[in-house]
Amino acid sequence: MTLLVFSRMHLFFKLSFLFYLISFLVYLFLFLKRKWIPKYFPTLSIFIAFAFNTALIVFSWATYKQPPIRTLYETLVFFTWTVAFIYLIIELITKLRIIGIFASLFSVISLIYAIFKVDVDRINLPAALQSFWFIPHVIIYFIAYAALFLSFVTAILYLKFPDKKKLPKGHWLEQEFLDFESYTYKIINFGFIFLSLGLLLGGVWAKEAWGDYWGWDPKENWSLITWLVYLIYLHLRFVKGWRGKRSAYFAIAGFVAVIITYLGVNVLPSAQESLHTYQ
Amino acid sequence: MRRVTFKESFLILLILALFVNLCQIIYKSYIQTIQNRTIILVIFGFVFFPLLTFFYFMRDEIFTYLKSVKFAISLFMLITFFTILGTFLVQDQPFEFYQKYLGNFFSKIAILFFLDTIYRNWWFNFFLIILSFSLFFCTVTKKKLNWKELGFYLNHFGIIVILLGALIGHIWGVKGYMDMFIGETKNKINIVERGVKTNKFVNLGFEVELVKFRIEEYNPEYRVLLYKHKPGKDTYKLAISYKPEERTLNKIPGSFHSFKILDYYPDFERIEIISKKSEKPLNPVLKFSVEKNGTINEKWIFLNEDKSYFDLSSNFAIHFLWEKDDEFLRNLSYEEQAGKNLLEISQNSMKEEIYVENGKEYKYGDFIIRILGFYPDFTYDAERKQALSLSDEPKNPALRIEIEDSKAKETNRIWIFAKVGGFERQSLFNNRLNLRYKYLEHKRGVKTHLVFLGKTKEILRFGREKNVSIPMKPEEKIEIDGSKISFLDVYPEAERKEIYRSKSSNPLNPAVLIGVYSGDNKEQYLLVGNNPEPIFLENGKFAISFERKSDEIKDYVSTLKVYKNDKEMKSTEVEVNHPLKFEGYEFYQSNYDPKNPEYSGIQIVKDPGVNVVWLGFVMLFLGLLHIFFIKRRILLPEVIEE
Repeated sequence: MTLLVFSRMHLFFKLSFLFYLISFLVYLFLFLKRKWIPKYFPTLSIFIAFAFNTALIVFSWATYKQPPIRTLYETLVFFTWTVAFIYLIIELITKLRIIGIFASLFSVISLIYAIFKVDVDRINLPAALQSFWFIPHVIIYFIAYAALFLSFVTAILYLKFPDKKKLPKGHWLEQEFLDFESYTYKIINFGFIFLSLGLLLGGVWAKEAWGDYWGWDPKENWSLITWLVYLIYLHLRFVKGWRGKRSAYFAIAGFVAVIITYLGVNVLPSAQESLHTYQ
Repeated sequence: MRRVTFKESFLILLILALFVNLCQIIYKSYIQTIQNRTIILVIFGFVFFPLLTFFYFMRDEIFTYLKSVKFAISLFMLITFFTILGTFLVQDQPFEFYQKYLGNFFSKIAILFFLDTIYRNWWFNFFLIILSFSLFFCTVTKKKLNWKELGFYLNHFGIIVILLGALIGHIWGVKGYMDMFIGETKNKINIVERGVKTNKFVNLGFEVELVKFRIEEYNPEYRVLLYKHKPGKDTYKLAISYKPEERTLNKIPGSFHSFKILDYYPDFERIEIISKKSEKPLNPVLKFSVEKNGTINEKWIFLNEDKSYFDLSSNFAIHFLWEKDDEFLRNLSYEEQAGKNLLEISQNSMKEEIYVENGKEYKYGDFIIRILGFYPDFTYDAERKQALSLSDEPKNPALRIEIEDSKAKETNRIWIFAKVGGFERQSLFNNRLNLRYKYLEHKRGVKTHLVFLGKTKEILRFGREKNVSIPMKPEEKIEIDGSKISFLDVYPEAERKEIYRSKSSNPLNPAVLIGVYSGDNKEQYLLVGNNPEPIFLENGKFAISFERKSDEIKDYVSTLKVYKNDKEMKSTEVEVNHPLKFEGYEFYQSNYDPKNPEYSGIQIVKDPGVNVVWLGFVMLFLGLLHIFFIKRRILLPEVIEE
């Protein structure tokens, strides 16, 4: 049945899936056999995948005249897109290609999950989502999620390579310093700003839709928990002896909280009462 | 100055929380019920002043903690932990619920520490208050207020302002509900506590009328849906949705079957085409037309089915026979005749038919037959254990008969049914007597009968006065009482063909024709969208149905009018995401009743703290912008706490 479902999916979905898979293999290969592959090759492949991903989103939006960020499937496709987008920006700035392995792997996994969760039919926009705040709220949140995923990757890399080293010129990592700690911090800073904005917009929207800017709904609670975990991470850096490994655990825990907020809320014991579960 | 550690911070916070919790327990069990305000104030004073004195002497210690980042982080961690706990422990449930899931001991613990209402209990909110103070003192002591640190200040004070706004809303806010029906005007709202309507009311000081309520829908769309049975369960999982316009052959995975949508009719109708098959008189059919008031209607009579066409307004009938049938002609009636019960009685090889009436007695040899009851539209009331007739229409005629064998002194009572296959005959007394019940339908009598004989193509005209035979000419018209009858054609063996088509392109009565294939086997099914009955394949392992899409509701819209002192102040369409605002109250579209289109549930919120919260939001937002755009290069922190 899954194969049949896949065969019926949009061509752009299949192509972006294919190219994310290719880019994962190419990024991986780049680090295993460094001299074999020209440097622009992995970037090109993830860029093509990103382009098809963009085309898929633009196509759905244009066809159905409704933003394709309403269902779990649609958000998975969108999450994939934001991860690729933020990754491409980071690669452009830092040339840190090693994250690309994980960014493309994430995209592949996310799209496989999307195949299982594909909407049997396109849905009409329910009344609760017909709000001015809907699009900015969701887009800002997924930008935050994407950045926080990448900080999760750098935090893990930091735990693996904790030493801050000066790298020789022409090193394959193309970095002056090997300093995943500082990358983690910077990416979390970026992600946290969007996370906070998303939270604020959510409050504004909730007031307009339900009369309360905060209702202690499980999804709201977990978005607060996520925000608090990153808040703890950011403040722990002010405390002596906590910058580094110990705060990296909080960066990792933060992304776990993101995943619970995004997917786990549907399975929590308190979820039946949630107004936020995906269809 | 002392060094603050995490351990100490946690310990202090937890002890304080325990103290606050104790206060809440004492308040709930003893003080809440006290009516006398003075006593409450005295008790409050007894707690408050010693505490104040304690805080005064400990002020340096207290400020040390409130200034400490570690203390603030400890607070964050505790708040995070208990927020998480609240998402695992379902909130606001009765004690029995917790007893069932946590056991006796832990459920009592949960109630003791108000873990069933974490986000509302005193100690959790106490944490939030301490947090405000901690934020304040951290902010003012750690960094100087200047342009560079503006974002830092805005963020921290923004959160304090938000918490302050929440406090104001908590104290002076009102949450309520109104069940409204169209045309109703209300000036009171039901207070809602813990998300549940109470019997308490609040006067609005103005009146609200529900003028209209409507549910907006998206354009209807229909889909062919493939379902797969969930193993071990009694439900189906929707697997794939096909647009009715798709024309691909779909192999069903895990099945021997394929299917294809052969045709789609948005506005389905079934029409019949009748054509000639052969010259053998196997299924004769007569085609004629009746012209009345300038409109011509084509009609068909199937000899094997109806035989007759009655036109009551012009008082004539057309009968179609293949050959002349004298008995049929004798029975033509010119006046209405009621239906008759005919009993065919046979004994050995003797046979007799008698017309019987309810309540009468008939003798037949040694037998006496009594008709005890006649039920034209028989049914059995199982509750009252009684036979009865639903109407006078002879839909299911039944007779209750008593038969007495006068020789053997034996009596039998039977039911006999004219239209129930197998029950129209009854054998009695070891097959010595056989009965068969026929119901002769009511006969409509008309002034003129036209009998058309198919074989000879002759028309016989019968009136009460004259019987005439008219040789048929197709172009000739017979005029009776303003109707012109033309005989058009006769097919000795006619063939009926059903044709499916769409009357229009509007989806008024959508239907699809589906071909289901397995091996060489091919079957066609017509599925009608307004009456979804699925096709089941392989013992119900798969189902294919044609249904309307379920998510068709676009919006719920209540038109509300606000009156004050009998003057109309406002008239607004309240819909999801678009509340009505009036004098600090906000009215939200909240509920509807699928069974009652006149009902609309309106939620009402009054929150005087909300603007303070928005101010906090704006401060936080500007603070974030400041950090993002003005500070740009996010600085690594300079101060590191020991």
